[in-house]
Parts: sequence; C-alpha cells; structure tokens
Amino acid sequence: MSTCIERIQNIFSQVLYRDVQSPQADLFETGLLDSMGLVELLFNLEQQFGFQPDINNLDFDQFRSIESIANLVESSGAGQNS
Amino acid sequence: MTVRLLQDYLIRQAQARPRAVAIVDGDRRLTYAELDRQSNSLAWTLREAGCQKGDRIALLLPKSAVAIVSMFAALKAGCIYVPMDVDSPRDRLDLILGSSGSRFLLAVGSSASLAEQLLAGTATTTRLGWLESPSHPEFLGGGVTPGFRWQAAESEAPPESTGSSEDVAHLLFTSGSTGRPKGVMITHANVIPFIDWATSHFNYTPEDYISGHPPLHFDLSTLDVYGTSAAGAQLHLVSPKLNLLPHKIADFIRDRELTQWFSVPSLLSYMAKFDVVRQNDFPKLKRLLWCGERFPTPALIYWMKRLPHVEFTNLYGPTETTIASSFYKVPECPVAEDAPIPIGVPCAGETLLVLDEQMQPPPVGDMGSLYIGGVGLSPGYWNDPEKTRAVFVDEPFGPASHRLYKTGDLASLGHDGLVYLHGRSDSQIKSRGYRIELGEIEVALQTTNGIREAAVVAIESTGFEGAVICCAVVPERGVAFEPQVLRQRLSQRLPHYMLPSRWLRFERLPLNGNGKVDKPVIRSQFSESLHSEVS
Repeated sequence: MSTCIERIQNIFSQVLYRDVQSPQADLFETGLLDSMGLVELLFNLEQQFGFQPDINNLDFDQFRSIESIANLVESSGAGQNS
Repeated sequence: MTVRLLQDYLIRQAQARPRAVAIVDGDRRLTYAELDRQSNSLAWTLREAGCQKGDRIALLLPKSAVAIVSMFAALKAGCIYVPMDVDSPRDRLDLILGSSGSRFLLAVGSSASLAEQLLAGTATTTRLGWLESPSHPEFLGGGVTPGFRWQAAESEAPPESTGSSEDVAHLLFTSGSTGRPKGVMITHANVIPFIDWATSHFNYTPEDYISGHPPLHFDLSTLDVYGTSAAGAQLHLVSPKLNLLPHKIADFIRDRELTQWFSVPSLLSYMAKFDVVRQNDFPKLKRLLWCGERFPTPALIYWMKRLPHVEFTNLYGPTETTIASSFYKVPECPVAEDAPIPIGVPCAGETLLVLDEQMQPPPVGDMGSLYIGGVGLSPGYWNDPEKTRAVFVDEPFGPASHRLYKTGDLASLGHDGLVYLHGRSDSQIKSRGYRIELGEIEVALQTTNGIREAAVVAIESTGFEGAVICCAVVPERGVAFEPQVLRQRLSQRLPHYMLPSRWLRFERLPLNGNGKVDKPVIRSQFSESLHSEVS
C-alpha cells in the first residue's frame, strides 16, 4: 500500500501534471501551486482521502510542500481506512 | 493645477495633503510627500545615470511601494516605464527586455537573481539600476555591475519637465500570437481622461481605501495607482500570495476596511466557490469593479445577494484602448443564472462600434465585430508598425484622422442600447483575467523537446478560471508521453497562467479538408475527456 505522501505525489504528477522534485520542495517558490491547482488538489484529496477541510482555517504553510499537505490530511484523520 | 502628465496627480496631492497616506504595502506606509520626494530623488538618479527623454526603464519589481515610486520616478525623468512580471520565465522577459530596448532594468533584492540572469553575459545594452533596501544593501550578482544604486532618498523637486501629454508613459506587453509579446504604447493623454472620468463617476474621495489587486504589468493597475493619486486616497497593495487562499482575500478586505475593490472576475468567482463572503460582509465597501473577462452570472448573484450595500460595475476594455472603454452598473441582482451581463455603454470620450464585414453597423441585436475609438486609443505597438496597421484601422465614416481598434471581440448592440459580448473571432482567450494568444503557446511547444507536433485549444469551463487550456501532443518517436515533464519544460518559456492544464496524446493530429489541424475535432475530444472526469 502506498503512503499518503506517495499518493499526493501521484496527484501532482498524474492529475495536475506538475513535476515536483521532492516531498519537501516549496510549492509556492517554485510556482507549482496556484489557485487552479489548489482547486483540483482539494477535489482529488476529497475523492481519494475523503478529506474535507474547513477552508476558513487553512493556512499557507499547510500547502507549502507535499509533505505538509500529507501532514494536514493525516492529522485530520482522513484516508486512514483507504 | 491642471493635470497634463500622470505625475501631476501625485505632485498635486503632495502639495495639498503631504502627510496623508498614499500607499499601504504590508506594514509599510508611504505618505504623499514621501512618494513625491522619493520619486523626485530616483528621477534625478536616472537623469544623472544618463537617462534621456523617451528612454525605456524596465521595472523588474514585485508589486510594492518602491515599484510605484519607480513608476513616478521614470515619468518625472521623462522616461517610459515597462512593468515586468517577476513571475515570468527568463526567456519571455528576455524577449520583452529586448523589444523595449530599455536603458535600465530596475531590480530589488527579491528580483536580483532574475536581473542577473537577464543582464549577464549577453549583448544587451541594458544596465542594472539597483534599488537598495536594508535587507539587501548590496547587489550580489557576480556577472553584473550596477549602472547606478539608489536607496530611499528624498529630493524636494523633480528634474524640470519638458514632457507633453502625447508622450508615451508606459509600455504594457501582452501575449502575441506569433510567440513574441507585443508592447502596447500608452500615453499620458490616453490615461488621464479615463482617470478623471472614473474618479468622478465612481466618486473616489480622499477617505477611500482602494484595493491594489492586479499586478503592475496588468493595465487594470493603472486605475489603482493613478485613480488613488488623483483622489488623494489610500492604495492598499494586495500581496499576490493571498490569491491562493480565498478566505485570506476576504480577511484583507475586512481588516483593511477597503471601500473600493477592483479585480478580475476569476478571483471573485474563486471566493464565491469557497463561500468565503458572509451576509452583509465588508460594511465599509461601497463599490466592486471588475474588468478583464466575463463575470459568470451565478458568481455575481452570490456576491450581490450577500452585499446589498455595494454597487457592482462591470468595466470592459482591452489594453490597446487603456484600462476600460465601457461600463455597466448592474442595476439589481439578476434572477436567472444565465442572464447575460452587458458591457454597457462607452465611458466619457470613448466610442464603441459594432460593425459587419463591410464596416457597416448590422441591424440592432445582430452580431458584428467590436471596434473602439476615442481618447484611450493607443498610438499602437512599440516598434511594430505591421502589427499596429493590422488592428488599428481608419474609422469608416469619421474624419480621416480618426482611428479605431479592432478588438477581435464579437458583440451586438441590444435594443436596450447596451453592448453585449459574444466571444472572440480569433484564438485569443481569457484565463483568470489574463489575455492569452493560443499561438504563443503553440510557438513555445514547437521548440520543446520530446514533442513532434502539438496543438492548443481552449474549452470554456463552468469553473472560476474561465477557459481551460488543453494541449494535444504527438510525442517524438520512442519518447514516452509524460505531461508533467512537458509542462515543466514549457514553464521555462511561458508564465504559469499560460501552461495547459489538460493534455492528451495523439498518434497524429487530425486534419480538416484544407489540410490544417482540425481544432474543433481536438476540442471535442478534450470536452469528452473533461466530461468523463466529472461524471
């Protein structure tokens, strides 16, 4: 079974078509995450993990890297049974 | 004092209300006196560094107080400023810098490395103007020596002005279908009538807190910067970073107590999508203006229902006719989600004409091509008489000196006297407010490794982003089809907003009866694949 990080890496490469060098790469500095990308990312996180964040509590650092997105998803309890 | 040149707005406010805040940039505030004196000082520095009337000054600066100081400084030195997008890839900035033939490129700490890449080791005659800051006192790029350095110093008076209102004030580069961005020349006389009309029509006052949302290379920002100065109001620069999280934009409008908001509709739709606007939110907000693309009616209804105290106005106009040429105040919240929102009637001094192929007005309600004439009409494209002649044409039944700009938009004049838009007659699209020529993307694809053939089409989406850019690819023989790799390569040539978000592999591109790539067939294949994703 693939890890949460691997599944999010897969969303970036196979759905968003964005080539992220490593789970720690800064998605803002590299310009790899913009508003269109975020909408698709959230859609896919919901589809794959059942992750439904409260948008009003989201902060930039939670989306800074694939690793931090994985932390966000895991700490929400989403995706544990999938 | 009569305003003849754009900097006169600032000079007038600095005399009348020197201590009033002009710009709020994060924690930084600049008063009108400071903005005036700092731009005087930088104007002197430009002159002393050899700048002469009409020289181009490229601004490789993020949206910031110092960028606005630099705009006014370039004008006070009699120069033409060229705002550059610091998020664009180097190759595209190279084209813009080369085309503008700028004498100086101004850079700060955050753009220093990009400036070095642009100026090091090439035959460019452009020199670096280094704008120091306490956090970046030195330019550390090894290969480039700054032609001058400037720090936030102040001078009482600007260099003596010999400018005329017909002088070009700035060049704004837009997407070009042949792969080279075009520099639209905008004169002082193009901008001033619109600013005077807008600040009076929209009742800008010194008490206004005005948003600075679009980037400074985007022509909407011209209204933000000079409209605020004309009124003596406060300009609150919105960090581009906030665009990612829609509730942060809502927090910004709320916390800063903004009274006027002006942006592209895609941002407003994005905020509606995430439902971040509360009932009767933003109590200080008086007016919401949008321009640059169609505002989908469902998102407009979302906003109007929540903010009954706000006036909603659609502005329309391409860069070539300066900021906006027509306006429509939405009189009441539309009921039907498919109700068309017109672009309205011409702003003062502008003419909108719907004409058929014989350059005659079609019957009322019928579709034609939209032409614009009047005070905002640019003299044309920088150093490009051929492209200028192609779209700046003589008015068919006006005086010989009158010209019109062919917008490429299809439009009709309604029985209500309002103009309505009906799409494009060419392959230009709007995505998130950006104007994009699909041809520019195709030219970049031609020189991308791993691609034998490619075609780009756009599909209108119901989402907030406007058109979705789709790329059909025939890979080189033996090369795997990896869209993420192609997208990465393309990002070396094109800004992120031009990168296709949908990719399909083709064995060969479909051709029509004339032997040309059959775009409708490609478009329908993408539509099918988009549809199957949703269902």
